[in-house]
Amino acid sequence: MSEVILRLHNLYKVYPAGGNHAVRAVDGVSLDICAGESFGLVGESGSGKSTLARLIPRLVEPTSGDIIFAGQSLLDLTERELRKVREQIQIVFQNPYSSLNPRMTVRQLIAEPLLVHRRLAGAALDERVREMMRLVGLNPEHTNRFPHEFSGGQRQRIGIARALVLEPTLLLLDEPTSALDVSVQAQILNLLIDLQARLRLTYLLITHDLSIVRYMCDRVALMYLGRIVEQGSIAQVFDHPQHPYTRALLADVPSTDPDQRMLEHVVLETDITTAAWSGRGCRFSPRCPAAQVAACQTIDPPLRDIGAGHRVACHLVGGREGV
Amino acid sequence: MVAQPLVAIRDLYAEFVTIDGVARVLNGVNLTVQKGDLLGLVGETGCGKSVTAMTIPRLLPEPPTRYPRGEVWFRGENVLEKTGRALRELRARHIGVILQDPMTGLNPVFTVEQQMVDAILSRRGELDARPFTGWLPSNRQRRQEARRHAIQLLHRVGVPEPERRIRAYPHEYSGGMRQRVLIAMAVAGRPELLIADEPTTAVDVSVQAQILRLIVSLVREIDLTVLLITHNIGVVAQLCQRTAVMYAGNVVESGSTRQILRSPRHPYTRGLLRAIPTDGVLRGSLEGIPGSVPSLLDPPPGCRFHPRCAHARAECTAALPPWIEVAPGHYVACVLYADGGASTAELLR
Repeated sequence: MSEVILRLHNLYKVYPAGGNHAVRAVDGVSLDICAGESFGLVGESGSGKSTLARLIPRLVEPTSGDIIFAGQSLLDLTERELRKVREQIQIVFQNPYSSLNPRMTVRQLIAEPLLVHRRLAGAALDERVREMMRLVGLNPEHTNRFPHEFSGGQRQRIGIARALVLEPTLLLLDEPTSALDVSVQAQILNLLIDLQARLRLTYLLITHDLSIVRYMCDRVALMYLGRIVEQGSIAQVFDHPQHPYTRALLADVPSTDPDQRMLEHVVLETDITTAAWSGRGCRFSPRCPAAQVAACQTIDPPLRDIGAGHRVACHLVGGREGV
Repeated sequence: MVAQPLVAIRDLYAEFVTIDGVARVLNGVNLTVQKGDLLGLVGETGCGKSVTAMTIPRLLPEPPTRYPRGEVWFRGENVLEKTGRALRELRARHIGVILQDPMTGLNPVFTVEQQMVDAILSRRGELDARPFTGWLPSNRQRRQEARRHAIQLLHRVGVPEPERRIRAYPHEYSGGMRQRVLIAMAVAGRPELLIADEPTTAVDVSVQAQILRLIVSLVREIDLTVLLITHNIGVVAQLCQRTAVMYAGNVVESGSTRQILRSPRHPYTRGLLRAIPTDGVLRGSLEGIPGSVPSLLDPPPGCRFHPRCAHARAECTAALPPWIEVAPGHYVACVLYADGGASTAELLR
């Protein structure tokens, strides 16, 4: 595999929640993302996946741990140095209806990052804006239009143009299509795939939609209550899921094949909030449908490699050493 | 020989009067729901699926909504001719509605108990009864009895410890549990028709599966007819016997779910199904549908899909396409099938 562009090392984000309580939004995540790959980060609401994405460019300050981007720890950087690195790490946000300022024209929206980072001005700036609009499939004659004059899919194209205008290497895609209809979603996913090949981008795709990850990613990690519980290639995780949580999630995605009767198999009876985790043992144990062992209640299972980069955090899944 | 359908919408037109003009949101909708059906109404944002469904209990405010033409038959009566008290009676006793967002469906300042008891009493038409308490049960007795019923309902929809949980406020419930409360309230009066408008769009996939299972079990148990509105084809495939597909204010195709998903005929349905990433689809090979949904303030003439349709012909712009039965029970609104399917080879290629 190619070189590691982003390494997260034992990353934590803990929010105080009054008294002695704390919300451990990201609870010890280590992750390597390689240059040029598409990495999918999947989890239900409250799993910490969006917090993790915001920690990477330090939009949210981590509590502890390290973020190493292109060989450099981002936590050592001054605000000024960090700004330079952020040109390389850009975000496409979920909702193209609320993430674009309605009082700015497309030209202003796409030019804004260039102005902030003092890259271009005058005619060169205008030409760059038009070039970006062509790149994402917008009509460059529409530079003076406002966001409300565009459809949802076109607005997300504006959001992608804004993210790409500084020529980043890493793009954080935070639910980029969840506000869009399925026919438009397909257009945007294909645009992202095409751009990745043309511009040699690395993607970290954050989503709750397993089918999108399967469609466009190389590797995937599943998060549950702040921690990665399974990680591997698309084939490893989708064709040979090991963690009971992964299995349950895959089984609960309604198949579009009317002959696959999924509703008859009950997998998870509870949801992420009603089955509270006591803080001891495996965080999935209160919901886990598998037959449990004593360790499930007492020891938090580490993420172990079960071969060829397929990693699972479960006492019931044997590691390399045959635990 | 065929029994009278529970719902029959005939050639329905609906408009919204807005500052920018008149939005023609329904453009001659035909839809039949038989008793005991689990019918899926699918389509993308703005296609009119919610408007169509909410016309049955007449829940849309009028104005700005108007119905220039058409009929909406429910239990043998035209809903569009009903007014005031008769409509309230219809909503209270015969139709239950669950909406998309379980976060906003409950009032945050009242306990679940207060809201459920009100819902149960109003479904019986007892909520605004006089305070007179001679030989009739008192308000207090009626509320206590309704409370017992509410606890049973919560138990039935799978809320754990209902005796304790009923005293909690909505914010103390998770999204999935709130949706269960709303379902319990919707079925409290044993309605004949349940309209479920995107009931699982705002919840996680594991909760979605639980909610869908609950709906299926209620259908079996209390003889419910369900009109399920969704944009999720997987939900329809798993839940519904029949499916109707809407686009820009028209039902463009309807049939059994298997017919629609296995042999879709309308170019829009075909495009929609090809846009879904499923197991075998290779990276970059999804097709999508070019263009976007038209503005309903100024919709295209004739078939509203023709500007995005690869098979559009001159006649598509002239008039609404005919409603053609291409297989038993499988209907499609498209001129490609008007000549008995001679030109369908071109489409299916």
